[in-house]
Amino acid sequence: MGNNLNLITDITSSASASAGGGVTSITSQDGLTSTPNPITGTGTINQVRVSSMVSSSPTPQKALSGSGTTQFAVPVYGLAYPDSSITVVNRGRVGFTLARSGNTIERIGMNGVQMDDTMTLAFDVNFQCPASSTVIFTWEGAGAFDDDSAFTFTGTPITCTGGSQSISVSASGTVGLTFSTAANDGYTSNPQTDYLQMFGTFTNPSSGFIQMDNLNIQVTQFSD
Amino acid sequence: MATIRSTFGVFSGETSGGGSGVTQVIAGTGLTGGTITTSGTIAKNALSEFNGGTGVSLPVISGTSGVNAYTNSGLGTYTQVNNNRVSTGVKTVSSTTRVGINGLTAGDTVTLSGQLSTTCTSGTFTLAATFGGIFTSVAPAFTGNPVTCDGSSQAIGFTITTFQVGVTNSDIPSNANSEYFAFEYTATATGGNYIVDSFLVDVNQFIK
Repeated sequence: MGNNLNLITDITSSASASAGGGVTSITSQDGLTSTPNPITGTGTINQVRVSSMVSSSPTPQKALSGSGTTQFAVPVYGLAYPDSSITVVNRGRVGFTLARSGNTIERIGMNGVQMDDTMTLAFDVNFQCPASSTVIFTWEGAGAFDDDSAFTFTGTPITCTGGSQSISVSASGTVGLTFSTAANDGYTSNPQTDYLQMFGTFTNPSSGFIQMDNLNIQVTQFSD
Repeated sequence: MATIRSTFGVFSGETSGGGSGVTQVIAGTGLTGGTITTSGTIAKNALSEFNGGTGVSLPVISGTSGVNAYTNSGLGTYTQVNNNRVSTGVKTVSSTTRVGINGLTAGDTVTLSGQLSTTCTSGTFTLAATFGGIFTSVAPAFTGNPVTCDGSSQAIGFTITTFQVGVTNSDIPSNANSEYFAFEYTATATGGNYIVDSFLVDVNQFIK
């Protein structure tokens, strides 16, 4: 998925019977925003700087199965494209790319993320597993997002109840400072190496499911 | 591949009689054009710039070492303009500061310049470039290099004159991890310090 930008500003020019013509309204669209929008008198046009990925409903449930200790990636997107439950805004420098691993789309990769960009991330993981089984969630982001400590969630074993359970995951910080274990890791490479990913490792997951819900990632481009 | 087309004109008409109409448009973040009150053009800002300013002073160590220009404790001691397709950033790899460029395409132009000073006390101090990707075939020109150390502050200048990606060289740019520029020095003795006084990288996106 590339990050093509089409910055379009419509300028509506209409004749004014009394004034003899002129621009009466400017509406900013894709990739641009204006204050006010439309501009009918005085205003400012700015570039859109926020890229986002927001879900409006849970991802399809991924069924658990197996015995012993089994790891499942938290699915972030349905296998069908496009997934109408997720809205992606890629109008600025930063673009989101979803990566499939096996039969699961489980990675959120990013293109164009750079030093001092800021990111906020939040999502829930809904799951259901047999009573007395346990699950441990682990963050396994990579590249510029490999610092587990930057992502807040319950990382200790959770005992399954047999009913619906959920954990929340969140993170907020600055690229190059917050999310990477490397010093001054101020730029990303590509979505294949710089991605967000979470796993749940279950004991005896003979039934149940795992899914992502309430995903909201916002990346704001930084520039002096 | 990122493609941006965002140029348009604004023509503000007289509204003395009608009392309505656009009277002022300000081109804000990521756009050029300033304040338009009569007529003008707003375009995207095609310039991406890394301006390192003054780095940290570090001791000169005998042998060959990477130049570690900036503190690891925090970014933001420098300025950067990263509004559009191309962006610059810093990464420390093996105690060597790299300035990498993301989002390059053929036709973009790149210019690089700066200065490093050393107060090395004896022997010689020689600066060399280390690089990847598009910088492979555009070696920098140095002034004052090498330095014969005497304990005083002596400067080495470095410049890569403007070159066009994919024209000056045939490299296809990939990402900031492979399209980077850095320095190493070779000192024949230990003593004194070195510091990056300035480090400027300008990239202009090619739009046709």
